[in-house]
Amino acid sequence: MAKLYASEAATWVTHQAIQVHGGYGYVKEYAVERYYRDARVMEIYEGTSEIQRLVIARSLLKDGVKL
Amino acid sequence: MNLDLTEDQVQIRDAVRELCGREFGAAAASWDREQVVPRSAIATLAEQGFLGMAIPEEWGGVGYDSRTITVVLEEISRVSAALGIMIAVHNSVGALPVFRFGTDEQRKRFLPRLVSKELGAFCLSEPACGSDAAALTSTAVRDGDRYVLNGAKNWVTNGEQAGVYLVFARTTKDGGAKGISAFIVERGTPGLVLGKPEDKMGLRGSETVGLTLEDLKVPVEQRLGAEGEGFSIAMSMLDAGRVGVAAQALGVMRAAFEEAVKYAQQRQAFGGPIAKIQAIQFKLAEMERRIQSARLLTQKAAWLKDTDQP
Repeated sequence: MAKLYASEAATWVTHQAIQVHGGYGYVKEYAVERYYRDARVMEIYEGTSEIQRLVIARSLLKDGVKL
Repeated sequence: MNLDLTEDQVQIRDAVRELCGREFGAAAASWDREQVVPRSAIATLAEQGFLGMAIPEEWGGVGYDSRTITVVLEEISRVSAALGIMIAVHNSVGALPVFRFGTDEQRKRFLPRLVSKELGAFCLSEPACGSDAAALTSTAVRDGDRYVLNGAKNWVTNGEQAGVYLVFARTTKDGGAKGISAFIVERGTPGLVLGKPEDKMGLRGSETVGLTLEDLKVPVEQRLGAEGEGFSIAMSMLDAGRVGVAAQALGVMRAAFEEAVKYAQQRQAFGGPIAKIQAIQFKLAEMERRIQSARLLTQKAAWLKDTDQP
């Protein structure tokens, strides 16, 4: 769950960081464009977001809802 | 559940932050442009024990718990996510499986190198199967006291630099997940043919390669675990590695957040710094919220691992 949440948060946060920078966020002079590119794959490797959701759903349907 | 970092963890965090900033801060952008993290950067981290984070001290590692490892990975990834993924993969699915599933002979032979200088690589995905890993088609055919491996592997992080490759291949034609076994293969073994690094969107300093197994001969004593145990080894290692990805994501988002806050306070528009504008403040607040939530989930996941809870 941490991997799913953190990777999607990273794409969101890096996306917004570019927005705060405006046009400067889109050029390589500033680091945020690299962070944006770097973050994206984290939703894919070592289990995609879809596989993570599958694992979470399977676990809660098998073991019940944890409070 | 106590999520405060211990004094040791705080000390380690601050030391890694300082080291990465000083040694890699200026170079990280050029690693991205040139598509390579130099071996000297790996050596710098190796000197501090960061290649043996998950390996106990009696086997040459530094024996960090999961929470400490996430703290280190976040700090490395904050400076260079490319270096972060290389170190994360090495520790969680390169070195750790040799310790966790290896015989004492295998540990003696491979761990000293893996904790001190050589990167490990994990070869599971294939050109035609990623998420559906149990469908892999690479084969390992027993031939006397060795196996002969054939097939192709994709998306191998550290593939270009690694000294030790963990390769998954099918030892029985049928059997799905239960027909897969794991093998430790050394760099330079004839038949382990490295492809060109992928030209990726991000993490460009981390070299990701495809490779082919061409009548690659692996002695039986380099099989990791029993025949048919490969898939469960792979899944348990990936489970363990995922909290590391969360830590890498934290490092990247924190880096972006810090830049955004700094820029918002400097950039002047509409008669003052843009940080005074609510539209910008809302973005910064929302970024902070997600970072804090992600850190809580990551630390909790690591704490669950450290206390042996599923």
